[in-house]
Amino acid sequence: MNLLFCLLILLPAAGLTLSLVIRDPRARNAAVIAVSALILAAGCAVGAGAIVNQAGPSIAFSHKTAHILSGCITGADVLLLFFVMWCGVRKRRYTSPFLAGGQFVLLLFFEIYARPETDLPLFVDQLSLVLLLLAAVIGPLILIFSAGYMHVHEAHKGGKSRQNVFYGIIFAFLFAMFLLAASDNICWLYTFWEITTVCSFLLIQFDKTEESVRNAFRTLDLNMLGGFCFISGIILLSLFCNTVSLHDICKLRLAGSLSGNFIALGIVLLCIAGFTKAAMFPFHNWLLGAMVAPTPVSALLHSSTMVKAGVYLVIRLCPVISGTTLGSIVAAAGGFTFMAASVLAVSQSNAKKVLAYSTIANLGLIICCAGIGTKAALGAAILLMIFHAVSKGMLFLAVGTIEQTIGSRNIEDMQGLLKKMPFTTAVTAVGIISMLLPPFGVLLTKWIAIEAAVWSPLVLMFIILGSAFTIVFWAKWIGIISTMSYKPRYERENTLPCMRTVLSALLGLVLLCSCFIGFIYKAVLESYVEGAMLFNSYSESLRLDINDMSVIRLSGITGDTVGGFAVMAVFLLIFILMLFIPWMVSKTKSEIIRPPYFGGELYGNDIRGIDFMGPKDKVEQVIVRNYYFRGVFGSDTLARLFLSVSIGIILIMVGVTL
Amino acid sequence: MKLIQKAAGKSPWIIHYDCNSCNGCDIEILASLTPIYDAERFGVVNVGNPKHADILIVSGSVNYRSRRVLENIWREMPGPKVVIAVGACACTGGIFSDCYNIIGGVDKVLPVDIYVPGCAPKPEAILDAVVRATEKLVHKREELAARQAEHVAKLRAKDPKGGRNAEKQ
Amino acid sequence: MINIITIIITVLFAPLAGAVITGVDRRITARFQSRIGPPVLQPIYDVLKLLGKERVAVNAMQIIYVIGSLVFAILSLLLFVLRSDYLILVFVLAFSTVSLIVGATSVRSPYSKIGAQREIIQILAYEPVIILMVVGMYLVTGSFNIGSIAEHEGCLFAQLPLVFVAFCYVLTIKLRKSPFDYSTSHHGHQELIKGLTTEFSGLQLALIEITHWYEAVLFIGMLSLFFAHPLWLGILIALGVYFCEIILDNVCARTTWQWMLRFTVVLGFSLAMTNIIWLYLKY
Repeated sequence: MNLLFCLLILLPAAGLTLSLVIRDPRARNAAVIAVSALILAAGCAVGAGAIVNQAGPSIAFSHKTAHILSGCITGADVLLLFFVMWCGVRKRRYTSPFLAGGQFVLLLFFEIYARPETDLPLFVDQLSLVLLLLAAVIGPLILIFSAGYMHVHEAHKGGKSRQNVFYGIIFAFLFAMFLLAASDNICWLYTFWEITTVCSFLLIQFDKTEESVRNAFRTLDLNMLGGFCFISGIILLSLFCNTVSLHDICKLRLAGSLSGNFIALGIVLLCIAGFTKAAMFPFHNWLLGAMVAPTPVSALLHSSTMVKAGVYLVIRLCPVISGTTLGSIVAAAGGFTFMAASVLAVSQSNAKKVLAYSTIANLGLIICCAGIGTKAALGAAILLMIFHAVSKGMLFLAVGTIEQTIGSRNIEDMQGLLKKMPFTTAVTAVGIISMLLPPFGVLLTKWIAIEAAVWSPLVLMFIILGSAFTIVFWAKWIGIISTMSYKPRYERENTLPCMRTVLSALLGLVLLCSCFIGFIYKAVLESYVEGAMLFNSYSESLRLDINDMSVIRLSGITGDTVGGFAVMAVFLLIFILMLFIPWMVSKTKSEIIRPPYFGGELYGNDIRGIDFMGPKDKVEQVIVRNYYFRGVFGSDTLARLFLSVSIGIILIMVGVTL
Repeated sequence: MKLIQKAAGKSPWIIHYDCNSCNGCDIEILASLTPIYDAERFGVVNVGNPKHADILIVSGSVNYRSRRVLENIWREMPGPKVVIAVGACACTGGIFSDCYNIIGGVDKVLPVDIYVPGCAPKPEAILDAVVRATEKLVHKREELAARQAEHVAKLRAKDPKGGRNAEKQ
Repeated sequence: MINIITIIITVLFAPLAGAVITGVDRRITARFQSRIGPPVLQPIYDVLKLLGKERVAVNAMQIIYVIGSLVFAILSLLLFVLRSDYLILVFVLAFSTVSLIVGATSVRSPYSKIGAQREIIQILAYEPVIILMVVGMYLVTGSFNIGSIAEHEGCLFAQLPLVFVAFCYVLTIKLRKSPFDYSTSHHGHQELIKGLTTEFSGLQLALIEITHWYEAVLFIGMLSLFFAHPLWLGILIALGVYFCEIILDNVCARTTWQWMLRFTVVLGFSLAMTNIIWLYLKY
């Protein structure tokens, strides 16, 4: 078990070396795919083992080894900070070098004055296991996808191929994510945190255009700010609690007044670090900028790695903040992000931007759940983390495929896509439905979130408004891609087989996750949620109660059921009916296809109904576009308002501990 | 089945198209929908959408410009459907019949079922035409059902998989 | 066993009840306009006639979405009758609407697409208020379960008067009555033809009508939950509210979506939220 785990961690390192060493593109691609498949297999094995053993792998080192390793890791961190400074100075952008310098000073201070050790630096519990598995399953899939994607991408772009660097960075990214998930020593966590920041910086500026460099630096600036908060938080916690173990920190309980409480301030700083990485308002800009990167990178950042690390940290701290004022503020911040991002997404017609805003919104919802801090909410947060990662990974890859075929990422250009790319469009549609409607996981978690947020009206209002706006932008999109004129002759897509395989695999994963939501919760999460909230009397009011594969309930204090959801089979039946009834009807009475009605001004005999007779007998094409409400939801005033409110919330969060 | 047959005449939804009329007939048509005459007693609804309509009421003579639109509307209506020509112009071309731009009455273009003469006809006459049209609708529905049944049976005999490609005519 | 009987009765008789409600609605409207109006069973004749029409479609997928819309509407009514979770019911109902919207946008027709866009805006307007209503009921009764809400001692209306007003207001939007009939435009010959339903004909349109019947029954049920003891009183009051909707339908002109959104925020959302806040402070 532990051996497998070590293998899992070392495999990306092997992949990194291989992809940098092998020069021949074919051989390199083969190596990348092979290593990815191995990571996938190892990840699944570790996951299965952890579920069977009811315990994750944990690796203990002798005191001396741990000391040496800590030294190495700190050294790596220092190197990293210097690298950031060098990058910034070279491009004459001084914000991130400045923050990196600040971090360096704090790191020195920490090394000299406060240096407690942990006895179990690498330890995987259920929550880490979720993050680990997400990275270990979706990461390799994205790598396999990019083996096909990057080839076409570079062919479009021209110039010298830098794919080996690309794969190298992604492997490094995965390596850092695995260790980040497994670290119990918060200093180690901090180092891997910085590695993911730098990796995403490198990936975003991969195309080396002016825009991508600018956005990459924005990412670096904001995340360096987060890192700065992180190291400050670590110093405070190690000085006042004398521990750097994440699990010990999670056992802290903030009692009494928060004011003047340095431990609380430390926790707040860690939360802010989590917020920056999870692209919460007001730190969301970097994630929007990150979409200039090649699509696999966006998929990686949005689904399983970068942002999930931030969310992971906040969920970890959930038991500490639950039931306190701090918890309410975190919930408000998350809820506000959920609402604001959903509102702004309505005015977007760029598919990747819509996805980016939706990611921000969902991360907000996760953090909101973590802030609410009941057992049900904590469960919902972790479940949403899983569902969001899978669905969003799939959606990004599908949009990437579409973009390569039609040459645009504008939603308006996706009209009639079902005819051109039936498979990818179906994948996209399922992805959208899985983000929006029952019986899929994301909606279930939204449901739990609303029921858990009942006792805090402000958060409740944010969630309700946010979820209404979510319907708006998803419904518009799915309406566009489902547009078609008649019984079309579907074209065969010529996407590369590896991209197709990955999309189908993710599609299967989305369906499986939603079908086995109960199993996932029971086997992996229940003991964690119960354990984490053990000492917390506040969290007793609602808890998740999942009986078998398809039945989910929320239970109140007295054990009576508050609500239930047992409809997976019913939904399956309905989907079958939706296809079966038309088929039956078509047997008795067939359809006559007629063009749509244009007020009688249809031109020609084409049953697709494309042309109409305009003024002065000019034949014109029918073009119908969506509403985007740019005047209302796309205005700068609104964006600025959201930004200032969210900054206010962050300031309040810091303020209550002073 | 029998109920459906019966209902075919119980809810005549109309669409009204003004081909080339002087608006005299149009006003009378609208008048027949007003509370005084209350066409909705017979289930009449002015839907304004050929895809929903059963009865096409045309006023005015057909000219070369309006012909295309008239044919378009007719083609988009699902059967069983009926055409009513309201007014002298719609029936024969009226006083405009010899004009250079006029094709003639509606029956030059579409198979007219009911003619309502008059310049302009009274609302009572138009209502009467609509009620007559409902009888025609029932009749046409019977024909349609018979034709469909025959067609499906023929297809089943030829292709046991069913009438998927039925009625491509 | 009792459940199965309930399901069968609901599926069979709810549309009949809905049809009669719609028929009476048309009759009353006619009376307001000093007309005699159509027979009460006219909606049933309409649907039967539509079933007998030729099947004309713009594309082969439309019918699938329409059936989806119908089946999800039935499912949400069943969830209500079987006393399931209220929030889930709201989500399932949203699925029904979204399915219809996708059906309307799957056609390259300006009228139906614009109608669908407006319908989406309507969702934006009424969805928050309906969820707030459910939350309000939870705050009073301590349960999201429709059964427990129905069995709650005492009148919910006394605790949730503003939520009730907001819900009635939102119901106008959901029933597509004037001044908010702007996604399907009840009275033809307007800028939108028939909006959302323009490209549906024959069988499809019949199914949409039946969906409306189920929805009408569901809304009567949702209204009567406010006055669940005794049930007949609740249903009576719900019918009374429906009558008021008809009056409103007849005296109002159509509005624009901007006006509706603004008005909903003020009258719908704020009212409901106010009510929620005072309940929150009370308990």
